[in-house]
Amino acid sequence: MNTPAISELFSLPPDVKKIEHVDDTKAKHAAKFVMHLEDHTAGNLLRYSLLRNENVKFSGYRRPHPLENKIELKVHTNGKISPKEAAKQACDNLCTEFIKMKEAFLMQVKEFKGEGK
Amino acid sequence: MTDQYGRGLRAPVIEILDIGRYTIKFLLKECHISIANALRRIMIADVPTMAIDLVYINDNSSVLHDEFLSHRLGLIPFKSDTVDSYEFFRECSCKPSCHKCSVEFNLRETALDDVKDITTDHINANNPDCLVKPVKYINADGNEEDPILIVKLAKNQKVDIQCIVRKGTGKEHAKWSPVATVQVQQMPQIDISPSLEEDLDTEEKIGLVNSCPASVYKLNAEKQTVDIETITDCHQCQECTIYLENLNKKNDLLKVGQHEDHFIFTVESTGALPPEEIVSKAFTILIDKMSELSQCTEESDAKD
Ligand SMILES: [Zn+2]
Repeated sequence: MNTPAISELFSLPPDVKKIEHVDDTKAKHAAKFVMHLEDHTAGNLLRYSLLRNENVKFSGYRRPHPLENKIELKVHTNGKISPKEAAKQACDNLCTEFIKMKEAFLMQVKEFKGEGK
Repeated sequence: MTDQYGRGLRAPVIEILDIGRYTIKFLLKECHISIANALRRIMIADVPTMAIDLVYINDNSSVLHDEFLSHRLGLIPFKSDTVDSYEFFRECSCKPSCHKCSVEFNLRETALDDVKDITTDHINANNPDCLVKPVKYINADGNEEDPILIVKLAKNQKVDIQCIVRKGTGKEHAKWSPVATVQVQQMPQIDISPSLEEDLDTEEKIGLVNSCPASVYKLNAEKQTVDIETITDCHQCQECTIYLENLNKKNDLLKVGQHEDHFIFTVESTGALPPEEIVSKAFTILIDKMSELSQCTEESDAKD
């Protein structure tokens, strides 16, 4: 009865942006990013990628409700970079890392299959 | 190579242990657990395959009612090597369906004289050149296995069904998941103190080797040392440390733990996709996801 429509998993209403950026009113250099259609996969990855940045003082994520397909990522920086820059860097770094990992994986598969023959 | 904050990008080391027809086993070393977990989650829920999504039942006099039959049909794994050439039905611009997003199959059988087994072999594509088709499993000896049984028809019973196969992901329904399981195991770590060699006599060493139900240890009879034979079999049962405790020896002779950043992946495919393909597609999806998030973060404007 309360099951959300499957389509909500894949598409956003036309007036909603994929990522909403909300500045924290109580603290400086702090912001919340509401990421729609994302879950723990991206949330956890970004959290730990952000924590590797020495300019990031805090980062955490939560999924406010299991039936809503969104996560909230909170980022707090020391002011040298903005939370937005930090979040973007985290995404870019992960992207590069996964490209490298994919290359490494494909090479290993090739090598393994070559050995077999 | 360093990142923007000079810390160096992480470069997990991948080492393939085994590639089979339906499984792949590999090591992921120097890898943070968040990356290992993301990879696992993507493989289960986000790698697309093909499966029966829509069923028209023209006639069904079998013992299984229509819903039951439809559900069984939905769960049949389909060969999905060409999945990339199909569109998601929800993203396809056609109305109501077209060859880019849907593949039609039919199942028309009647039991004429005796009980008849209806299996995946009876599912025929309307287009015989279609590469998407029910998986034919091949066992370890290289022989083809029996097809999947869908329903048994008694004499004069009949099914006449039309199936539409569509592309989907495990996030929507588990029938589209390309994997049976993805197992992620932290690499066990066993530290044997050098003094163990002197502190235990031969009988106690044999006892230690036999105490492990997974046969991780091996006694080197020549050197009188206890060696680790198959570390990956260790399942942290601690039987070996309990054995040493009961001997009232100093308890630092043996330490059983796990590596924090070293994982053993076992991916079991349903047969829809080759296992190495599933992993490589998972990486592609992660790359796309991250570049999309990067772009959207850039475009997001701050508001209070
Ligand atoms: Zn279409």
